[in-house]
Amino acid sequence: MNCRRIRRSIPLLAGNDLPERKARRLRVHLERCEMCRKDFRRYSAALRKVKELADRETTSEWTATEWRALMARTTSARTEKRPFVSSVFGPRPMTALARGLAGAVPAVVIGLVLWNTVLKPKSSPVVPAPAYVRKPEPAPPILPPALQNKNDEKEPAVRSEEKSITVAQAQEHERPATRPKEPAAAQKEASQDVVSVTLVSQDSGLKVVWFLNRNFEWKGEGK
Amino acid sequence: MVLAGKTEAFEPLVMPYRTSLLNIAYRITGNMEDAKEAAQETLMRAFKYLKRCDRKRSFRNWLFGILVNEARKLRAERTNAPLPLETAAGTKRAPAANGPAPGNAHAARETRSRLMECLTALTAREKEIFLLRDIEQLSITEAAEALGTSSISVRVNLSRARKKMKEAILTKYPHLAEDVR
Repeated sequence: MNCRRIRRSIPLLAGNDLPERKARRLRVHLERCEMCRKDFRRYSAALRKVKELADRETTSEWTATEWRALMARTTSARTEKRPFVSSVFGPRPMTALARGLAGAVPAVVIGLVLWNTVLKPKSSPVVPAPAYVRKPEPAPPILPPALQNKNDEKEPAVRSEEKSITVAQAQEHERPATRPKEPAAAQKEASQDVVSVTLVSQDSGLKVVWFLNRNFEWKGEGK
Repeated sequence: MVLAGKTEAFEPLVMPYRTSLLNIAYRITGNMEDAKEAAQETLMRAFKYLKRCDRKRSFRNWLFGILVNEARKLRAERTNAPLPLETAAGTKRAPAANGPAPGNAHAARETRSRLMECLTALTAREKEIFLLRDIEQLSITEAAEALGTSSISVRVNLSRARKKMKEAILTKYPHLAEDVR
């Protein structure tokens, strides 16, 4: 510490108003520095003088009559009726309100975080499909196995292997199914090995088709 | 007890502070009449609003807080009040028929007291803090509580006040401070 910084703290040191640790550091400096020590002595002596003056110059007192009259006048006045808000929330309703808010806000935040992470049912975000991606075909209705077999017989060999999908469907494809699969549906899904993604340039009209396997590995492209 | 309706219990409650109240008020306002008025108003307000006093806080600090506000208000009123016409024009006022009130003469003498002279070097805030900490011996935390401010603000103002007081004593009353030099 240099003398300039020390001298800023000397007025407080003279009145013992510094924390013990800082005061000790300052005293160590004062032992070494003559100028700061002199400054400290001046402050201490000035403070002593002020206290002496204050004790010597004690102002006049209340006379007994004055004091009695004052007490009579004071106690004859009515005390303030406690307002309803104060009676419920204590002497400082605004402080009580601030404390209440300070407690409520973190509780609401924690509640929201818990709701989003643990309690809320998971749903994949729906990404809007670009204009050039073909509209998905309506999903076939889930039927009991018996009826589904009939449908399978009517429809030839589970549509085509090559099928265009939307981005949303692709994500659906990646995620494991939540409900147990019907054997026929599982068989149908197994047959959909190749998917295609068609990209069309809006400027030039150029069209590129990418073929991907079920793991979304690139298999080739066509035009 | 006072809150329970025993109004006579108020006097023992404020009795220990009656001299301090008067002293602080006198040193803030600068004259005894205003000091008594401020102290009276303080006691009346303390009685009226006793229910608002937080029991967790010290009653003395609460009382001193009211007093400082009252004294400050009174001093501001006196400062803003227009001067009497003759005084403003610089002419000597004719003495009243029955002479100056003895209280006024006494106050005028006291205003010239040494401590009061030194205190004029301080700003209003510094004076309040200096009086509470160094004359009434409140701790920094208690002074901050009474004035409704932070401890840091009290430290800063107290440091400035002590510096100014030291300089005032050294310049105005060098004979008082022979051991200071």
